[in-house]
Amino acid sequence: MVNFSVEGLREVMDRKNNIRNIAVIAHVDHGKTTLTDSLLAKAGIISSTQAGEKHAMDTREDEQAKGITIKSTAISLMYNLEDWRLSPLKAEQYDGSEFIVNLIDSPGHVDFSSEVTAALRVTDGAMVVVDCVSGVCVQTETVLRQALTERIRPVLMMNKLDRCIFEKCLSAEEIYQQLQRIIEDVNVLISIYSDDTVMGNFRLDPSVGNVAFGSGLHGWGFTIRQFAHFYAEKFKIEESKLMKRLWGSNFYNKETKKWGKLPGEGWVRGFECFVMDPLTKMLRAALENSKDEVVLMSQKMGIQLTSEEKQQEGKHLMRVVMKKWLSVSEAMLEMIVLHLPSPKTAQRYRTDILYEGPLDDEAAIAMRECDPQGPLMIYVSKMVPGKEGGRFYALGRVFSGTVFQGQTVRIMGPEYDPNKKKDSHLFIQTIPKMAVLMGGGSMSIGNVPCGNIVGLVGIDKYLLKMGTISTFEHAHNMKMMKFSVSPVVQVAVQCANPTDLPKLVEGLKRLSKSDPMVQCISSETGEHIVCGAGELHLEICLKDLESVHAKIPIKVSAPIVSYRETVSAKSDRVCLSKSGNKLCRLYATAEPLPDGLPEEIDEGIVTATQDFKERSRHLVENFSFDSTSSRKIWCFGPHNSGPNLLVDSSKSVQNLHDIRDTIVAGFQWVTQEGVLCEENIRGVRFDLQDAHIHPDPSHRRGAQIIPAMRRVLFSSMMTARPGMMEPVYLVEIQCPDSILGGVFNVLSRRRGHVVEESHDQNTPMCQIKAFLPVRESFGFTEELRSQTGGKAFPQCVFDHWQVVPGEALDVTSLAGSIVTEIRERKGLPANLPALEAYLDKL
Amino acid sequence: MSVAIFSSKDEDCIERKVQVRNNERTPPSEVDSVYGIEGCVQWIAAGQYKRIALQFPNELMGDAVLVSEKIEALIEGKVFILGDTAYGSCCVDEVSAEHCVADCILHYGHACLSPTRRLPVLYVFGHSPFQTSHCVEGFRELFPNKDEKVIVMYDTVYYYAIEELKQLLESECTNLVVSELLLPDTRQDSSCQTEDSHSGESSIQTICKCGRRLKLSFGADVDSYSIFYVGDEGPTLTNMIMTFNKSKFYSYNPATKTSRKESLNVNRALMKRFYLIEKAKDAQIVGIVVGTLGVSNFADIINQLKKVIHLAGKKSYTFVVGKLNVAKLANFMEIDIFVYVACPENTLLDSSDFYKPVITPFEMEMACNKARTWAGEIYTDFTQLLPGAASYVEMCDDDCEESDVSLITGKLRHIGRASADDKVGAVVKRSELWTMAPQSKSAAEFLSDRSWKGLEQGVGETPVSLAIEGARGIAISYAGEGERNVALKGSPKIAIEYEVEKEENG
Repeated sequence: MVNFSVEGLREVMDRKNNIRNIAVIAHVDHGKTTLTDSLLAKAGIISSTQAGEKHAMDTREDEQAKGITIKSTAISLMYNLEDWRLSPLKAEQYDGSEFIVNLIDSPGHVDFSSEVTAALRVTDGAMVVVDCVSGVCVQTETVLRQALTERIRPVLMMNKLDRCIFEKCLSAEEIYQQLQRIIEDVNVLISIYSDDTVMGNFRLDPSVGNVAFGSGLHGWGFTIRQFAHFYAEKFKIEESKLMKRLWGSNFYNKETKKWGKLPGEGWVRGFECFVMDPLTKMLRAALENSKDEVVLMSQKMGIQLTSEEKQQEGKHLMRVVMKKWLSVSEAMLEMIVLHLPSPKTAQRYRTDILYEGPLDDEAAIAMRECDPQGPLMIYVSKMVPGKEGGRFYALGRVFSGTVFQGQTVRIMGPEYDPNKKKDSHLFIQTIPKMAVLMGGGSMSIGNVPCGNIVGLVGIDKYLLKMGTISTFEHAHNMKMMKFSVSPVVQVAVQCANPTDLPKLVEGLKRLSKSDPMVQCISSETGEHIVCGAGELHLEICLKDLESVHAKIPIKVSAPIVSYRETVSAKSDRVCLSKSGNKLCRLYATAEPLPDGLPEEIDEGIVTATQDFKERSRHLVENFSFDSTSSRKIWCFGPHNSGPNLLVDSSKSVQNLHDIRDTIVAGFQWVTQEGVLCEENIRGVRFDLQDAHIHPDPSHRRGAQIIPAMRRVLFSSMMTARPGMMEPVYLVEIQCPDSILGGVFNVLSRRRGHVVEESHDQNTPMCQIKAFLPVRESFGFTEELRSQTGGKAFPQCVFDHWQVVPGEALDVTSLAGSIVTEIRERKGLPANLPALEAYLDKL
Repeated sequence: MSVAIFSSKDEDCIERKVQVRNNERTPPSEVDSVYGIEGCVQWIAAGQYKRIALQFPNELMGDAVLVSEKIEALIEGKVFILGDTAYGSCCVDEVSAEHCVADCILHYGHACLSPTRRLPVLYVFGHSPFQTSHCVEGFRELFPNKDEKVIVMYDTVYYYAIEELKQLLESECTNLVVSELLLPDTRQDSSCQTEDSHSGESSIQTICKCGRRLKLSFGADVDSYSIFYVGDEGPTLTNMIMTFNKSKFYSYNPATKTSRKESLNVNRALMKRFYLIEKAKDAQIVGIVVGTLGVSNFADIINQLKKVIHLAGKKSYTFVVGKLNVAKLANFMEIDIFVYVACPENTLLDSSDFYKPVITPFEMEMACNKARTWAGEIYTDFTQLLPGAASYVEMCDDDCEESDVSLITGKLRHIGRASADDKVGAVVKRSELWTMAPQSKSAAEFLSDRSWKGLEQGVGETPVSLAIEGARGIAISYAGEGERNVALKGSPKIAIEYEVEKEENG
């Protein structure tokens, strides 16, 4: 039974101090969903006997079947906390003992990183789960980095401690060292990625209480504070003092009953003596079925077992006793409430990085103060499919104001520009309904004040994937989320039956809404392309498309990698093309952009919209551009923002300004569909060297200039040693040392190369980081598994673009064969057109 | 997209070669039979026509003089030959005929059989060489099974031989349906107007599509038939394949004497067309290109298109450019998509070479009319879309603005016009909160966004002068031209200056 009502929930929503918005983040298989189960059980959503096995937040069938989380799932939970748990909080820091925890369980697999990003945006705190045995992994680092850049405070949950005790049979001291090392690792990451100045200097430290230990599967867990609280009464020492002694280099001498700082004969570490010893004793006793001992110890610890509970045997007995003694949900809850910020605290420092507009306007002030009376500001970070097919909840965080049913709001898409008078990205609509999301289900609610997470109903038509909702007329957008992955793997889908086409298109539209990362594109050939972050991501998307969104049988092509065209040298001559009427001549060259510049353009450090003087200075200083040409950048492309430049290097050309639009149009077209195989161009600088333009405007229209511009850029690319670029994954593999050879074999066969290899001191495990071209990554996971007997697990994440070896014009090289392959796929003539097709003579 | 050459070279106009399939002229002895001179004369006499226009396609132009002479000798009246039709030669060129004030047209050669507007027309299809027995052999190869349901379609030029073929084929196939041509004199048949009306007591349903009439037994589904087409590949066949896109197509080409299964991937073609519909939904400014002046109702469909486009919140402009080519349309950069209003055989255009795609009226309707649902059909004949026709769908005018995701740009787009736009007259305080941001862009706005906006106007700097009368007439000889200096001839601009001069002097 759910032990709270909507009314109760709504009441607490007004108490800003008693709300915690948190995301559970971790590497795959570290136990997020399992731990979440305990929290759900505590709130009465599921029965406590199912906790740890039900994976209640895995609401989809395929999530349950595969045992991994795919979508971020939100749930609102309400708890009543005991007084002693809240004692460290100052009186003004809370308001009654009821707390709302708006929790989002996120996927751990790297392919679904975008879901984590979407989850983090609407939360203020994160519970980072780390497996005590495998420690910090690649995805732990990625998600932690994402959290910290969003200014989200983390707490640490060390899961699977039982494995250290039973499976690895480590001694108490070894366990301490292991835990200490992992905490140190996480702290290093925090110090790298966090911004001390705003969030305050903080470290994860068990003696403070922001680290918990436990086993999600068996439902037990604790913070040092829990033990300290227990012993404090016994020893009559202050709780906070004791907490410090139960972690770190504090040793207890049982004989003298004294504390010391140094180890030695008779001195036992506080953690070992007071935490690990009773814990392991109890666990072993319960597991070995020595009931008397269990009963005796429980009495010591002050827990009452019912006779029914005493009947249990072995594992069951252990779970029952441990749950009663050290409930993991309470440990996590304590950590969440005490060490993660309330919206009131968090929005004070997060508003700066979330809001695009001026930080002193009405909206910004209200957000900073978390003011329910202020103008409404909601950020919608993802669309959650509703129970009844076809519609979506817009999952959003109310940052300021109060949203209510029937309210008329401004719905602003990501490209909304408040300075434009008319903007097609703005919709003014009323909100028909809203709900509190409860995992798979939802509960209707009339209004929601700021600081909470809400599911808005009926506005899905006006938002694609994300957006800002406000009532403030001059509101700017909230900043777009930045994803750590990009869609580099694509497939073409077709419907088996042509009459299903409208359904397929409709399904693709829904699919692109339902996933923050996936891209669905119709291509000119009539094919529909679905792009995803990785093989698994695509697989899930396609399954959804077939069974949920379109509900028609579909045909899927083999995965296709998207490539980029580029050049590797400066054009060997200045190329010339004439317009169709021979009255205009254009001269141009192509050359590669300096290393690092395309990446800066991707990251938005160098943009088309920034001040040209500033951009020019940056380019001169960092990329040794000469100062005149750096000021004459006409545009970026493709889409006016891509990593290619058009520079005007001509001198005193008559009428050049008149044809600028058509020249730019030609450039945009070329950068979108390159000369080699109509892929996007990357990292090329085109210089318009000279132009001869007919004085009569009717002879220099778009019809004349655009094709001429295309031809001159094509020929300048072909004379600049054109090449292909391919996307490259960073692969991280964790495996035992013994099978390293097999891993290297597989990697080298697939053109991969290892960039880092680190061995774990205590375990025979080893971590490898390698670059692997996406092209070679299909089936990589399976091959690795079969080659290594299932002992190596790779995680692939898009890292960078890399030039494919070989000349694109040489068909025998790899680059050349890729060109041919793409041309064939696109139905272009197999052979590249000759240079003469584009190059004209004077 | 291949590198489109948007503009043709100057010399192309002079050097352009007309594609002529058979250069050979019909031997004079055969002209009478091939061109059915006798029938023509009878028809003219029956209608008591006085001014007769003869329309020949380019490949038959060689015989034109001979035919016109023969006809003129046999009737009382004047005969004109219409050359270089403005649009497809399959359509009846009424406008050219009206130039010579003709009261009837004889259309020779291949025809698309689109209904005409004003003038009576006699189609003379001619006799292309056709060997019936060989065709039957080809048929036998393609349909070894005698029970197969087959519809026989044919190019109009083989019309003369069809009766013979029909008799031969009926012994080959038990479920044979031979299509009839929809000729002007039979068109009055009321059963043609609707698709499925079954004439009276008989259990036969008539289907009229592509200028053909099919008589199927009642209840039979046209999709279950295979179609056997006699003729060479070309727009006629493509049009049929798209229209009957659920049937299997086989063809026999009498010119090459080959028979085969048509392999045009309909599924792929439909996907391409569907992509264009999506593109049309994205478009803000639509160009309606008039590709026919002969097909009746062309003005109705243009008006309907304008209305539909407007209701969808887009702007439309109408263009008349004669024969379509890439260069002509590339001059209108502000247009996002073109709709080509033409006869069914010319309307399906492979627009991949064009700067902006060219689509059919049906596709534009699909994109704008929310009430229209799509089940895989393609209507190449725009008359089907008009009120009263079988596939007319009322545009729902509910003023509601919709938005959905464009799969081409990956962004949200609006469909339907902004509600506040049209209610300017109503006395409503236009609160900022209730108005939508209108998104429709016109060509004028496009122009204002351009960095170059045309020649310097210099308003206020140049002295204002009164308008004066310039040269009149057509460029080849302006009215009163003989009196002027020969050197100034031809250029109206100079002519104006000349007049200015004259006025100052005088």
